Amino acid sequence: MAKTKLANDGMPKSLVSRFQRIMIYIVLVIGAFFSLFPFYYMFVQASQPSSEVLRFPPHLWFGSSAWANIQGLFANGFGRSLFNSAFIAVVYASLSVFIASLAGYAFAKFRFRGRSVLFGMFLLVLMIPYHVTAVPLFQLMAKITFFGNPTWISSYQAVILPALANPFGIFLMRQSMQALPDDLLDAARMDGASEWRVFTKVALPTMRPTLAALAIYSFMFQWNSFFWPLIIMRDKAMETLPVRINALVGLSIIDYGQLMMGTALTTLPIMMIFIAFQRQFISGALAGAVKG
Amino acid sequence: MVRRNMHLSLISLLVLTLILAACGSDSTATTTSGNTGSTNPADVKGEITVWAWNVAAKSLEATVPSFNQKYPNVKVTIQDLGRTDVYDRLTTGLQAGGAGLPDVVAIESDRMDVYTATFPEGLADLTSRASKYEKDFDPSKWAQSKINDKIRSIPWDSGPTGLWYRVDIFQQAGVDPKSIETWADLIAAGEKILTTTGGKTKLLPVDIVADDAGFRMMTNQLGVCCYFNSDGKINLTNEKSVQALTLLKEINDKGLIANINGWDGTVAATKNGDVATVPFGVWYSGTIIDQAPDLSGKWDVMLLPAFEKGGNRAANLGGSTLAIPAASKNIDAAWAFVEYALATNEGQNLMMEKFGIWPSYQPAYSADLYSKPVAFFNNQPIWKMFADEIKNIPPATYTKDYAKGQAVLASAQSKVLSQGMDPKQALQEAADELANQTGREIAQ
Repeated sequence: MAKTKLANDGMPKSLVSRFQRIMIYIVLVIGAFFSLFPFYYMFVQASQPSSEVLRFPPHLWFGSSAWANIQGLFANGFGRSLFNSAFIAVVYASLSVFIASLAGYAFAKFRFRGRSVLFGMFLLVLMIPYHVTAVPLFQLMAKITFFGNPTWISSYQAVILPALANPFGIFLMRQSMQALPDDLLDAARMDGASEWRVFTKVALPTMRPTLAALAIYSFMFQWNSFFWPLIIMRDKAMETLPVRINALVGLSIIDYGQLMMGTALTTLPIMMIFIAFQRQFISGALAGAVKG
Repeated sequence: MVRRNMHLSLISLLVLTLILAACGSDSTATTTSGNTGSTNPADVKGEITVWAWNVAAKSLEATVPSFNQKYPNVKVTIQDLGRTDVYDRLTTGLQAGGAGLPDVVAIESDRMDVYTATFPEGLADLTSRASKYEKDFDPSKWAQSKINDKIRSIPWDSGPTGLWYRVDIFQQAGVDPKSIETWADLIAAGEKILTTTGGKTKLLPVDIVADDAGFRMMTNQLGVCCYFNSDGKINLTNEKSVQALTLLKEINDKGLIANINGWDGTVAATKNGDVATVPFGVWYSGTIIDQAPDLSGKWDVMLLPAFEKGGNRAANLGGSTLAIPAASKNIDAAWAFVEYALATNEGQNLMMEKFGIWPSYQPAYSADLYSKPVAFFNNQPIWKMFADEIKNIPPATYTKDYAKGQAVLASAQSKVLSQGMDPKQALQEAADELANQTGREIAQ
């Protein structure tokens, strides 16, 4: 209302747009405050001793227990869990992106018998809630033997392998690969390139934004994953971060300071990755959204 | 048609591969099993793993050194887990026929029925080893561990209830805690406190939409806890349950309930002076010490008020047990540890002293620590009160549908406290709903 009134009064155009710009900035600043404040608050709480976290009025500035909380966490296996989480997420992201790009390429660019049925089956898998598969999968992991391991319970492969052929990733890669002109691939074939070369030297390089987005997605999927690692990683030394942090929630005593510090330390790598790969992340998400 | 057959064969090929992979595996099934019936502790050998939630896990850890003096050849590994995480792992392990389970696992007493109903032989039958201890344990807890006459777990800690209260706030309002004998007395005190604090400090915290802990304590006091009677019929429409919910409504109508959100909300209200009392189990002492160190000397505890003068003031809330999964490969070693930790004064009092885990094992109460004053709690001998309370706790029935009952009751409580529904009607509706969900009859 204010805006139209100003315009009616015959204000110069540049003034109106400056006013608009100020309004936009005000809205943005408010938005930024609301999205950043929870993170700030998390770090503030992470630096408090347990008995200060639920205090009212709450602390708004950092306390002195950050180091004590970190020490407490590391004394209870946090370091090993950090390694487990990072290892699983990195290996999973690399392998699953590789497999998804291979499968997506095949689904998009090769015509073969049963292609659509097979693809449909993959999409179907996307719709099965994981709670349904948890117990049979656990039984499978309990009984499987491979390379002399008596069981796959509490092993890295038990977390990495089951979700490796990720339907969402294959779907995403197929959609992007479909946009790739067949002529481009044929041209390479005419020049005598093997199918492997066509895939790695021609198809993949054009897929970089989607690959990056999928890699980040896959990394985050494993990094945040809770239920399956909780079920299968029964040895404390094999637990991932979310499972270890949840162990701080007891029956009647909860170490809130350590809980906040653990959460903060778990969020930090994700925040850094996001900032570093922000562009790929957004462009990839857009690509998936528009072309889907 | 040809196409479809192709896919079928593809799928069966996949399935076949999985089955084959699963086949060559049973090498874990037979490793060393402990020697049975041995009387010499040094002959009990092996490694055992124990699962418990965090502070409880630490308390068990504290008993390991002295346990190992007695049983030098048993290696105990304690794993700490989040509260519900224990159950997620236990359930999947039992469903998978005992794969990946520990040798000893902590289970809250009120969940025992759920596990024994779903997995009747999932937890080892301890009857022959444990029945000699029956008279030593808190009878209300022992009843929860004994299912169809078989002992499936050993009571660990009990939750005798008390009314934790703020000494300084009572004093300010001119209320003498010793004068409070009935809930009516407490309501009168609550009104006084509310006025003197200018409305800041209410009487007690309730998570109105999610937790009916207050209702359970009150019905336990009256001997009709929890939702079912001993025949397994729904037991909500009786006079006493109505009396309990009516009492909660009365407290709420006078503006004395602080409606809090979950466990963290209760702790925050305790810490920040939003409530003058918290009716909870003995285990809440540890929470207060941990979360409100600056209130040292300002908290004390009395028994829950009675419904009428001279009425029962004893009840139980919470508590847990240790069970041995039947799949354990070293039941002898597991039992040796459970027996030492839970059925000796030494084991139980180590956990009590360092971590405030209240023994279900009654002989432990003869130790000095139970008659000593506790500085944090107004320098009163509060443990003595709980030790004397144990034998007066009326038994309670939980059944495998306990969790369903909790959800239905929380919703009934919310209808009464937030929407003003008549308690009797709300309980009738709750009974119907529970009958619907469980197929159980409603007791007349």
